[in-house]
Amino acid sequence: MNKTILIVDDSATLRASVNFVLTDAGYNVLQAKNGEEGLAKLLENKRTGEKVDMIISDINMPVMDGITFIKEVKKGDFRFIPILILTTESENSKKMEGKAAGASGWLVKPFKPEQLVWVVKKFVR
Amino acid sequence: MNKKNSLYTIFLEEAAELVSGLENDLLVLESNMSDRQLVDQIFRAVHTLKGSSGMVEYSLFTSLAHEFENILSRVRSGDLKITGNLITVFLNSTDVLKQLVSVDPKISERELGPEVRVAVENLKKFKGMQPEFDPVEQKTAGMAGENFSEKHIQITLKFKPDIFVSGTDPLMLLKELSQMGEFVRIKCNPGAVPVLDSFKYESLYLSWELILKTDFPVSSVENVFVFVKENNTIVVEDISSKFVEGVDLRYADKMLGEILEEEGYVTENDLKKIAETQKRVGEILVENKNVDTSVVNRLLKSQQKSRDFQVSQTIRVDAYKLDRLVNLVGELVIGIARVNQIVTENHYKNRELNDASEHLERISRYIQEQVMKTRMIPIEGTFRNFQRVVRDMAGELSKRIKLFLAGSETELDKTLIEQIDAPLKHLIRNSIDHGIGSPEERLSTGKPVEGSIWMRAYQQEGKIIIEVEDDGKGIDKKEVLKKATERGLYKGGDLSDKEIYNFLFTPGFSTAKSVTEFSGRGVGLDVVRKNIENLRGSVEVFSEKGKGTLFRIKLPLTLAIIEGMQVSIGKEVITVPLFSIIEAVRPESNIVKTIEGKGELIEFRGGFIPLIRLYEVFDFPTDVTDPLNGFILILDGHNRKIALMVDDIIGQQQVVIKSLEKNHHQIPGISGATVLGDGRISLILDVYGLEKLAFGEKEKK
Repeated sequence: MNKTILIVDDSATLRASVNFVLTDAGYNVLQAKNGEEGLAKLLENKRTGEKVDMIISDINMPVMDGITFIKEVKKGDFRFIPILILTTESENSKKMEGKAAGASGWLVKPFKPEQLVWVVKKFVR
Repeated sequence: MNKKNSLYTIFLEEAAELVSGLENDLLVLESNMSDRQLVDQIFRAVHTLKGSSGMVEYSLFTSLAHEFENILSRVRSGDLKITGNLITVFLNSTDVLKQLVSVDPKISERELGPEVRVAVENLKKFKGMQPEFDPVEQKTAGMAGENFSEKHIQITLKFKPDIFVSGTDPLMLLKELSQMGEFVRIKCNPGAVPVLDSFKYESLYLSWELILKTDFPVSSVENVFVFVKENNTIVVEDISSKFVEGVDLRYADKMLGEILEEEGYVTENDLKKIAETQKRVGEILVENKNVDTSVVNRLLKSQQKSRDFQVSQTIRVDAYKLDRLVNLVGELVIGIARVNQIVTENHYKNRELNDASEHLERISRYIQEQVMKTRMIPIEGTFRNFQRVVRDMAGELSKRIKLFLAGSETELDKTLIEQIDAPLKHLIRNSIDHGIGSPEERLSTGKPVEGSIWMRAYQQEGKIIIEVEDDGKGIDKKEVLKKATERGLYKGGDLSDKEIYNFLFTPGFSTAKSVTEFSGRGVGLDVVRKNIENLRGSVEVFSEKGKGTLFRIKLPLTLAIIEGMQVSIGKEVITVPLFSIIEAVRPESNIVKTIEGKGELIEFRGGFIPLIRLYEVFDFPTDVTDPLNGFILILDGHNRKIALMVDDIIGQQQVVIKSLEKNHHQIPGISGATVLGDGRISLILDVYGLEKLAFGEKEKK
């Protein structure tokens, strides 16, 4: 059974990159452009009985930003899904906010494919 | 390769879209410079551009987007006001970004490199510059200047070996740090790297000591470690005061070797090796006949003494203050245990809280340990006094005795030291008076004329052990049994050595034929044992006739706290000192035997141990009356084992002892009470008291 990862990022490039890397590594990848879409994907998946095993989320996004998204996720049925946040090295305070909201780890952009796979492996077993 | 190309295509599409949106937004912003939402939107676009270009490793693009983002974040935070001038610069930068998207990245450096650098420089002009006419702006700039002054920050990183498992790569942290400033010192300690056999490739063995020269405030540096600080040792410290104009002032007091080691160029081992091959100044001077060896040795000794004085600098503190501190820390530990229990019960609800409370508990334990240590003093003083006691007493009795001391440096709680003096004195007198015979006696048994007494102190299994041993006559078991029969204590039957020696500790028991000035007047070993048991300790005797006697005293490290096992009887929770528990067993078959005159015994490891049903002794109502349904604790009683039947074992925890006598009165079999993690009160069992209570009653019956 392949594990499913949800990537939430407004950058199409980043989503594509995560998609390529993780699909290659044998994961199912779901994509969302912002927090709101992310929540929708989670709910949709719940209806179809599929399970999301991990969420990777950007912080700075339109419509619903990453912090709000994480807080929403942590409120409901999905609170046990580990969340990895994507930050840039200039976003230290975001990292803290992310952690406070309930993220379990972070990855600094830009990252190398093997870095991503490696971190995901640590969270999804 | 194919994927990389298609990823790049996606980037180009996205970037083109974002850049054109950016241009539009900037134009709108020019007409409404106070639209904060619009600023946020622009920032986000640039931020995304930076991230995306980073993913496809288009570094020229990233460098411009990065600077663009920097200035925009100043605008967002209110540090920088939007002006027409600024928007022009933004629009120019956007143009360059647009061009970057339209050319092949392979030739972009050659074609657009200079333009990107000009755009970056133009943006940078807004980094610290403020419009001169705006006093408010100047003030914020000033404040920023204070916060962001250059400083030296020392960072010590010791990660847990399994840090990789949590998905953290220390290299990423180091990289992040390196982007915040310049490393003045990087030292990596490879000390913990094990030999290849035991090397686990998933473990981290390295630790780092860094000094970072940075403009960022300490808090920013600390934030780098926000995800790892709880479980790892991360120390971030502003040591700017030790750096003046880039000079490390601490170097003044250090040797070159130390500095080289600190900077990570050589290891401690390298230095040691060199030190071994090198001659000391003293040796060289002696060789050159400048000075005599004896002078060098004498001065070295004086130097050492002087250093010793420096090392053990002390502060005198009122003991009362320490006692209060110990009590308060005890309360703290109880409080934290309660919080921790509540958190554990709600564990799944908030992992963060759980982590924090565990951290708190760990720290409180350290504090407790340290506070306890402040009350610890070496037994040396007590031991030293005995030299005099032995000398004087032996002289008066015309005996020749030498006292050997070992372990004087062993530290005991202050209260213990004060209260152990009398029992020890008693044992020493006992040895001198009854143990070691006169020189004639000793000669006739082929022993050296001079008798020896050894006093030793050491720590073992979390207890303090103090031994008093002599090479005297030893205890005559027959004599003891005779006396015990006379006094009606012994009624026949086989007894173990331990049980025989036990008679020595009964009140008024003495095998001494004569009463001397020093001992043998009825104030006997029973008092010694009582004193020691009051300190929650125990005393054992080992002896061999003709060879000598050894008294071994075991004491707890501290009086205020004990490790206890919580057991239940009906609704009651009783704390049994772990100190006294030998084993806990769940009886599998009926091992209880009733023997006439001896009450209930249980068969255990081939021997029989008297059984105490705790619910009977304390008269606690319970449903568990069959030992098969309960637990049996094997306890260390008075020189024998006793079995204690309880309903169930609840857990094990450190408890702070509260005296009952202060507010209530002493209850036999109970040494005090404590507050458990869940707020319940638990009585603490006094094993010796219980033994007396249970078997004393039975004898009456």
